[in-house]
Amino acid sequence: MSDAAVMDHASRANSLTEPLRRPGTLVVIEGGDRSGRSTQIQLLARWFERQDIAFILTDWSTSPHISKAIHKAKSEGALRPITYSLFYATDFADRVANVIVPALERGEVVLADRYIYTAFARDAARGANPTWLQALYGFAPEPDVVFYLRVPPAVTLSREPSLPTKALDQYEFGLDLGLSSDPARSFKLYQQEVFDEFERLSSEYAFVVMDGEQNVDTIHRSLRDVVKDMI
Amino acid sequence: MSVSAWPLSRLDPLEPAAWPRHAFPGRLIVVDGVDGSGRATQLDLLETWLRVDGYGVVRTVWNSSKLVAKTITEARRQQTLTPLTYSILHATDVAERQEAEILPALRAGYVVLADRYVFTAFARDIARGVGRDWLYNLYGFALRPDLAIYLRIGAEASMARVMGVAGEASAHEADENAAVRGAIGSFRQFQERVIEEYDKLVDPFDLLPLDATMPIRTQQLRMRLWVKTLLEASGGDDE
Repeated sequence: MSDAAVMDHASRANSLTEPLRRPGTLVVIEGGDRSGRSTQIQLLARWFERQDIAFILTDWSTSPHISKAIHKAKSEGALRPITYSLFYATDFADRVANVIVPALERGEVVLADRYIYTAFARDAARGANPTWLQALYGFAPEPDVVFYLRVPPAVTLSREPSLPTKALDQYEFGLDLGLSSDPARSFKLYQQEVFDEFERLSSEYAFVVMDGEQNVDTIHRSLRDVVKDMI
Repeated sequence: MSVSAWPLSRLDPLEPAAWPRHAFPGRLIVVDGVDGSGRATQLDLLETWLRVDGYGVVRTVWNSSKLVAKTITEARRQQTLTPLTYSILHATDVAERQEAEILPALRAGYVVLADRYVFTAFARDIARGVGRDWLYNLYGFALRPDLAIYLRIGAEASMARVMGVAGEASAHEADENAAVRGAIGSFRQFQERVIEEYDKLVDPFDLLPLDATMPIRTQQLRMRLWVKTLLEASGGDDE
């Protein structure tokens, strides 16, 4: 399928969800597990509060109906890759319609803790066709900026000392992929796959790349400087 | 990488007619159509006939996967989902059933009888305003059926049957209540749009339309002829 065709899908799907006018600002922060993403989100949210900037925070997999079902399925250890992928897409679609688009229409800042790129990276590691994924997520409003907290897997691994203890953890360790029966080795392989995919996405979607190994405050200031100019 | 890539079937939105066929020994037979078209009745008869003939049969029903069906029912009750979200949720159910029920059965050479399939999603979701190309892409993972029968019935007739079966007010009785009449009226309009969309699927997807208002037995005999032709054409040598 050509790029033009993918765009065509996106615009057709968009007609359902995307408003014609969009006064708000969509700020996305991406980064692998333990990249310091949550910390940066919190700092940015506090800064918005201090500046009296109207904003909302939306986290990955938090729609009221769907996220509960995902959580249940994961804790039963029963999610197959394609079900996993579509379940997360459902959750995302729900948040786009009920949280993200309304806030953008109200002119607020939407601070998104992960976005479609997380799905792209994780699903690609699980065998999904990238063209299919892009068209599937064609309804997503385009972010004004995507920050990517880049931390190489070697560093992430040193920040991850524990092994999976609950059925829930097995997805983070990529154990559903059958890459290795050894959790530590599986985690390493899976995180590497996801990291490689993020590297690819980073240039394709022009992420603002932040060195995730820098000091927390330094990163926060850089994020703030970019966001300030946008609002 | 040990993970098998998906979508495996590559239903291409730009060329739905070129949807590739699967190579599994089993056969996927779909009976689709709106509520009240008599799908379950016909499938029951077909299943018994196939079993008597010695075929291993697996039935799979729309919106029935353990993981997803409850979420769909719950969400429908609360009416919070947009058509797009609803659409992906149904696709999740189809994907889950394909992985858990349909694929294993086809690999093992069973005849899989599907009560509704992707055509239900295409007709309903497009009638609700979801983009056709986007939707076809969404179902890019779904296997092409070896035979897809479309039980065709008009909106009026299907609604009369559904309301009769449910033992609720008939359309005539409902006429006395303006609110109910309004709801029925808008439901009829929706049903008509859905049927219109089903009709548009016949050509690109090789659906075999069957007049669902004919006597049950007449329909069944026609269906058996189609099914027999399919099964005998494919691996009848060990019968």
